[in-house]
Amino acid sequence: MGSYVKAEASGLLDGLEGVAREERAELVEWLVSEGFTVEHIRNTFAPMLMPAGRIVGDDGNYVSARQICDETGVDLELFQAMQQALGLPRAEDPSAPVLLRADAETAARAKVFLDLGFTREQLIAVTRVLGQGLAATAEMMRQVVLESVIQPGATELEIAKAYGAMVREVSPLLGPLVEDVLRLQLRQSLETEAVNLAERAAGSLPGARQVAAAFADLVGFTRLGEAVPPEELEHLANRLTNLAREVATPPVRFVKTIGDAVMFVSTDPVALLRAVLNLLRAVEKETDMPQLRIGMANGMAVRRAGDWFGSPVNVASRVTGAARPGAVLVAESVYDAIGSADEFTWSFAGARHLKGVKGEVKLYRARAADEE
Amino acid sequence: MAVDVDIEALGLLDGLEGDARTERVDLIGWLLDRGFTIDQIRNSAAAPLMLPANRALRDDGEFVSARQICESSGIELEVLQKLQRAIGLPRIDDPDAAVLPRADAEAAARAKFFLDMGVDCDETAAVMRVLIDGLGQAAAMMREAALKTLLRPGATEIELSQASEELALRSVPQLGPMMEDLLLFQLRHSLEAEAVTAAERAAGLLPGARSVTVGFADVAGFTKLGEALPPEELEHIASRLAELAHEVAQPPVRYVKSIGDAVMLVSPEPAAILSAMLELAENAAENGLPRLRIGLAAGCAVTRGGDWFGSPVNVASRVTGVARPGTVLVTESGRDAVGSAAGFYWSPAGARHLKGVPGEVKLFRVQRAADCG
Repeated sequence: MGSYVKAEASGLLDGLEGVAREERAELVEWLVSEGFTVEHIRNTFAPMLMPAGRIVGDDGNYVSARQICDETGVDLELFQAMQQALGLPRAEDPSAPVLLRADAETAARAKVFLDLGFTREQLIAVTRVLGQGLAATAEMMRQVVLESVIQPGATELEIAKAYGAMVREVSPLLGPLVEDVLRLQLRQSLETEAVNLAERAAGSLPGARQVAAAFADLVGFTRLGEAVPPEELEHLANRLTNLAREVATPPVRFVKTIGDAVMFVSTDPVALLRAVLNLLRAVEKETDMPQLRIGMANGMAVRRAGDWFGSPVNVASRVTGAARPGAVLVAESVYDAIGSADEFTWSFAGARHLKGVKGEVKLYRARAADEE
Repeated sequence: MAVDVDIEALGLLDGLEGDARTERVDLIGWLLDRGFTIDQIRNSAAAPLMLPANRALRDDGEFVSARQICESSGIELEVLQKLQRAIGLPRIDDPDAAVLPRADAEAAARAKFFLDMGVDCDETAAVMRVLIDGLGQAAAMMREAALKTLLRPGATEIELSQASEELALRSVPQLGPMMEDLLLFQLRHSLEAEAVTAAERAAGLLPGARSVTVGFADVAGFTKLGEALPPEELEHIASRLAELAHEVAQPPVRYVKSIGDAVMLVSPEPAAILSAMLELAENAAENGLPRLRIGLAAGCAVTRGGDWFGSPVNVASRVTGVARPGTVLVTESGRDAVGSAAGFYWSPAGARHLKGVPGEVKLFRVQRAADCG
């Protein structure tokens, strides 16, 4: 009861009424008994998740940027750049103890890359991409874990306890999982791109090379988005991604999903065309999935941070926009590169002006030869 | 010399001539001395020089079957195969064929604790897929950065192989603690971003669709630039845009992703994202980037695996497509959501038909109030 009064007096129940107020009072009382301060609770967006937060490092222990720099030997400018790379708000006063210690230590941790000989720019770029990749993972983990503890009618206190217990159990296992998966990705990135003699002789990284790029796009996705709930859109995009991964076997690489579209690249245009035709067929076999339009182009592109940049990527995207539902349309560059492979048949689809591309681009519709 | 003959007969030198052939012979001899087998070398046809680095990354050259991993981990075969596909391992029809590198197969089995917690198999696979995608980009970048520090003009295969092994050996002990820290960091912030409301708890469901404002910023004329500039410069423009977008995306605005020449941001607070987008347009101009086209829309969307789905995402993307270079366009839904927040100057930009959106959508151009007196 004493705590209830405290919760009331602290203003932590402001704006809450009825059951919500009672539940929050009960939660606050328990949090205080668990050692959380009223101040800490007040500054927290979701008090219910505080026990879980504490396990993952949100312990109410704050430090200044300057303090962490002294402890870790990272200079202030670099530290601030790393904070920004991780998406942390920048503290104006480097001597103000406003950074969660665990956050500040994480930012400083990236110093290992400097010790390994990376430049500052490289370090910041890698930190940003790592942070971004893990942010999506954390989001997903939070969702699946919450889903497994949330029960109809559960009180705030019950969820706080159940979620905290779950996170306590799981957190020691997360590090090894993520580490293993990163190592797997590192091994694969080393294998898939050998460094050839010319590149070694030049002493520089693999530069632009000839690749084919393709996009496959769900027809009418925007229209659908106006008619069905967002969950259904997500489900649809997810199905497309899964099918795309199924058809992408080396040397075809699945690059990414962009909303309602998937992107592939390959150094072998024949393999890529085969893969997208398979994808078209797979989607047609599915019930209640919209048709695809697919576009493909060939040219010089460069791979950076898992994504691809260059003319064939942009042109393939424009060609996709010009394709009819259910069709695979390729730019002349692809038609020329593939030549007379027996497994495809071609029909000329006219020369089109594509936005941003000079002159007209000859387009061809490709079909599998075994299609009747 | 006997070794050389083997190498030749096994086809390990096919397609190599002159210096390249001599270097490869040296490399293979060196690898054999260091305990790698001919089979390992043959299986890594694309990059035998990375074998030592891979060994440092725990690939011990052993292969296992799916069934073996099932037995050691206690995961059912069908579930394991799903997890393996989720992390991009090839589908292997025969569960008894020992063809998967042990280290790769074990990485998939690590996800078992999710299953033990009662998370279903599809959800677990979804977590793994998001994880592998996120780290794939990071791994590609780490590799690039590492090679840039290692590559020296005229280095031999053996030298490069040695240098990458050494770097891998030095970095491996650091990776674990760093990755754990980073993931916990992101978990802390994902907890902050979303409370669970009373209604959601009553229903026993996770936060579903909610009201958000979505914005895209797109480099005007990127396709045209792509026809005129080398790919490296295009990449530079795109990554500069992503950097600037990160800088303006301060909570409650979140950076969602970059898509080629565009970036996507989302926020539960419409005024905050509008302000961030205006700042992004200014920063892009100051940093010598081509002008941006920016579009925003508000509505209900769901988030899954860090991405967002729903009408405002599609509509914002269409609005971006019709924005003129250097301008910020907002749909009527977005304008209503921002309401009378101070600091913005609104001017009507007509009603447009947007592909896939029924009827016409009223659009407004937004500038900073300060810029318009």
